[in-house]
Amino acid sequence: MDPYVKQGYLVRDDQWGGDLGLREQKAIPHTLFKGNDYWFCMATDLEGARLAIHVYDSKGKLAENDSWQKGRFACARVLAPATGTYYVIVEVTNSPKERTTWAMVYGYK
Amino acid sequence: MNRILGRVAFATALFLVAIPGFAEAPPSHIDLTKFPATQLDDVVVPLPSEVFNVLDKLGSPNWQGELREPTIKNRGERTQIALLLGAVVAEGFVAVEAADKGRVQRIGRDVLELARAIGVESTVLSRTNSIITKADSGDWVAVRRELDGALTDVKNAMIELKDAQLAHLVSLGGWLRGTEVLTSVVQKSYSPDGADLLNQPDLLKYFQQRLAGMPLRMRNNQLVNKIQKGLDEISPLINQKITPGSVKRINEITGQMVKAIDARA
Repeated sequence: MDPYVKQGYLVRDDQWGGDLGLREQKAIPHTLFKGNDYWFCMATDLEGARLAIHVYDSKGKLAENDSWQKGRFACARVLAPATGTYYVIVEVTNSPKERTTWAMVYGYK
Repeated sequence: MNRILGRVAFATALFLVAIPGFAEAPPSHIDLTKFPATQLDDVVVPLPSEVFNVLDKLGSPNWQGELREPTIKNRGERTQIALLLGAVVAEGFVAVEAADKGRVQRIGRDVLELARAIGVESTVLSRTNSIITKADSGDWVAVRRELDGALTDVKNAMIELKDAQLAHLVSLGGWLRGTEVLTSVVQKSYSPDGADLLNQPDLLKYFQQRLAGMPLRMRNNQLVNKIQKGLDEISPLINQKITPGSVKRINEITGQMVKAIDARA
């Protein structure tokens, strides 16, 4: 069940969200700290929609160590190699509707 | 921050129950300039525990020696209370590091009193009660979580009260005290990894822009004005390679700002 929490990740009690069109992306800047291990997860409540989430560094280079996507959920993991600004890129890759609402949370340890 | 789905529980639940599957391979490089989405509203301000989590791994500083006694009785306008509230919550993290039960419990009560002073007492009541009881049992992980939660709850309550400016000041107060402690710890045992934690130019820019975007009435506030000048002074130090000298200087500037918050001027 709760694999990340069991692994010691603290899930921030807050969320980021909005709505996106198909193949529309959004960047969420976030200062990550070297030494921390992060999981960013996003979801939608729209059946049939598919999402993607990936993390890039300030130069636009893919920075994540792991990622997965399943149905209405997607997650990406980053072990920040340096402290600085990273960009969490969220995207709707498939949806039965024109706009898809989504929310993102993250955890760290 | 949008609350489109409106249920933190929903999003948190997915974090807990989702089972990994296969994903499309993402591009190894993207052009960030094509994203107009780096709007200020969407910048994620890290929680104090994200920084303290790393500090835990850097060694065993003398946390008791880093503790200070915020003067919460010396209250002024709402701007000062908001800054002080953020700084007091950050102090709570130092007290947790020092495993100082008495101090953590006092800080819990201080947070409640400051929240009351700006009209968001009910929002944090259960958090502050929890801080006090969890500190008593020495459950420091839970105390950190409640401190983070108190900060988030206060800010969200202010946003709901259409007082987003004050919410930013709470974050800024926490960042200033957190940065003062961080630089103090790094200064005493300098390491490139420790100094690297100060590489937060975009976060600093975010706070500068937030202050610059405040109504004239708030910007003309003596304390806010002083903090704006302090941030301008820190900016070039953070936007270059962080040296022992710049760590020391950032510590002095943030220390002066935290004192000014305490002193209402």
